[in-house]
Amino acid sequence: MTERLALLIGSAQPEQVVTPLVHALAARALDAEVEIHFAGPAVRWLVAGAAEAAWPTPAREKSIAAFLDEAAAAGVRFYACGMARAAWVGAEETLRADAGAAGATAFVARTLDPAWRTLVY
Amino acid sequence: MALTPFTGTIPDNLLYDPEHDMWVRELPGGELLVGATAFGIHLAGEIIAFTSKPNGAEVARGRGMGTVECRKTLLALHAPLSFVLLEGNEAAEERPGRINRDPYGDGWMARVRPTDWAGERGLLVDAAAYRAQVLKLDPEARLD
Repeated sequence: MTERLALLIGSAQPEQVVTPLVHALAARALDAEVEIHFAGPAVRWLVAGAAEAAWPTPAREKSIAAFLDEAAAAGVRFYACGMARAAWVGAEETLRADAGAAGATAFVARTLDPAWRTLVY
Repeated sequence: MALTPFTGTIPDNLLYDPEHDMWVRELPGGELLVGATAFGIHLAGEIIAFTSKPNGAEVARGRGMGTVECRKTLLALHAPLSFVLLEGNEAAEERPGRINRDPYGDGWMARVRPTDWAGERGLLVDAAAYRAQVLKLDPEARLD
């Protein structure tokens, strides 16, 4: 079984970001090394405080921040796309402390590396 | 929201991993049956999906042997001992309600062949010790 999984999230819609976060959690539960690249407007999920006020369902039972925290606690690594950050994150804003930086090429390199599997959402 | 106190069974004839709330039953021929305890399921909430690692997987003690999914989260199942997974319970994957209803029977999760039974058996505890652990975590628990 492949033990490395890289996911790409491009959506800023709350209802579309939970599935990849749960899939990341599942992969970690199966002991895979997991990283998520946030591209385009999705990079805003990594802006400190932005996900706390976003909910995937009308019932508002669990915020996007809670899903992100759960994945981070399980060992999932987060990466903000550099171009996306330049386009979608204000100069006065900061990212979550656990968010790293990775260019678009970093995700493409994962897709080209046989040791990694990739999923795009 | 606070959990309601646990009410359930901790059978005498099993061994337990108190860290991960898993049980182990010895089978003839050196194989073992593994599942999640009723207390563990109580902590997780109603299980709506169960997925085992593939048959033949070699799993080290404490590593992931599969997952369970509840309404709002997904949880790793940690192996209570090192083993080769011979068979995941496909019936429980198709009908995860079995795990909620009968965690020590039809709701078993994996049939396995241990790879270090002599070395790891002592890391598991008997029912009395596990009951004490449950009562320490949930003093109002009612154990049948």
